[in-house]
Amino acid sequence: MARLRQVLGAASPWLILIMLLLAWQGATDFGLADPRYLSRPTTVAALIWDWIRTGFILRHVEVTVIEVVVGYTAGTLAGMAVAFGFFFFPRVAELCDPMVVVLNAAPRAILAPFAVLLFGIGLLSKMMLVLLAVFAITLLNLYTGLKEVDRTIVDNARVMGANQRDLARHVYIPAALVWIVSAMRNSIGHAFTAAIVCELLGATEGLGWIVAAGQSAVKPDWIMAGLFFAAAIVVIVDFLVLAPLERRGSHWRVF
Amino acid sequence: MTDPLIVLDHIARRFPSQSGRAEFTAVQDIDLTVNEGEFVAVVGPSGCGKSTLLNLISGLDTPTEGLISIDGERVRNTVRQDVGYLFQKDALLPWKTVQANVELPLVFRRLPGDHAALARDWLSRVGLSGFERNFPHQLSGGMRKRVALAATFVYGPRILLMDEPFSALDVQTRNLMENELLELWRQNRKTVLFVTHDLEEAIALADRVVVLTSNPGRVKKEFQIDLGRPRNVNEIRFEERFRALHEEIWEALREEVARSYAAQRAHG
Repeated sequence: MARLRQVLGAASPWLILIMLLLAWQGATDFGLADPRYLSRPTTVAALIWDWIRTGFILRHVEVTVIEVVVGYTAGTLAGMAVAFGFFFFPRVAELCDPMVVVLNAAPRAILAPFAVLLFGIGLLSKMMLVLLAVFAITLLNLYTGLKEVDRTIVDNARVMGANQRDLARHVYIPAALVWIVSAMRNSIGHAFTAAIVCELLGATEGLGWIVAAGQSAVKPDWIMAGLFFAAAIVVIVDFLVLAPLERRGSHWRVF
Repeated sequence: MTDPLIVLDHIARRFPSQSGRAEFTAVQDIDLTVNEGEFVAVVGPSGCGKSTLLNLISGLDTPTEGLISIDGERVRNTVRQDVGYLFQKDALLPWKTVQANVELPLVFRRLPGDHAALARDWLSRVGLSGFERNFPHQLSGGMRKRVALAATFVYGPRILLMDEPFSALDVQTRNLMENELLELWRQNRKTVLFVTHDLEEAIALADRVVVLTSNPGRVKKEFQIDLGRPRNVNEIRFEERFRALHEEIWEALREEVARSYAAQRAHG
């Protein structure tokens, strides 16, 4: 009995998903909703399979992934560099504080048209937008994290004889790693959002372009299938890379 | 009579207040001397600047007024190398193993010798053999304090500053740690300055008890503790002389505690 409940517990999120899909299928099959605008699960599944079989989707996944990988890497590195800079030169941080607040508060997707104007409809405009989004998240996460390194730990290390370099190496950098990993996990979704939003606005390929094409040609199955691939990539990256990374780092994170 | 090891001469420490222009005076007019090998306890109500005092002696902080010298040498705003400091809060590096935490001061000080063996030796002296590869969060609060003790004794500081090191522990663990501290001190005869708000703990451990006033902290009175050694903190509390001393010192402390409590209520 307990075992049954356990199995049901583990399966129930999937059951809900399946029920939703069935409801969607039923609604369009029995004329409750118009499949011309809503499409239907079987149509979308067939399209997904078709794109995989013909290899049509490969190029578009590749384009979006390249944009994200480049922008994400550059954004993470830039965010780390500036966060450490702010931390070790508090005067600079003070001067830049209003800019950081604006950068954090402003909806960054608004900059997408600007990015397309400045950097064209190619991959560069998407990379820049991803970079900006990831940069902001990394900077804020890491800078806050560094400032919150426990004063007692730092004082203790100093009494034990640590100089500035020892402190950086044994205290600040290990402490920062936790924040970097959590920022990386946090920003991957935002990175894909930035790339896809920018592709929606002006692109000739990529997952965002597929979604945009589906919209202008009134092909809701294209939109759904495009979304499916975007979500699938984020889940795979998180599951295979970022979550294990954070788990490895967090065995000492209990304070 | 030899010269005292630590001399505090008219020390004051004021902090600029964050909101208004008024400064916050943590301690004022502190005159205090500690002899080599002496165990001195400082008691006072909460917020009387006890921790500030230790920060000043260690060189982590600099006095606004007055002079501190250790062994005739003036303490300037660099951290002293001959001082060990046990904090109230946990200060171990959570990302390093117990063994690595104890080795760390040897690494920082670039001391010669077999760091690993020295660290293992001290860990066994505080009863933690077999826990070398554990991380701090896998240990109990008392065990973490033992690691901190080992990490302090391992580099052989002359002076031990202790800031309510056992206050977060449960009573049984705490008494155990107090006895262990006395045993380590008997073997090594460091000079100890032990800050606490617990008068019983102060009397049970120290040769001399210094009572501070409520904020700003000043030295109110000093008491010589003429109890024999070695002591057992669990039993010494029941001795006639202990009770007499407790009564006498409490007389001086009570007023300050009441005043500190009133001030806190007025602010809160």
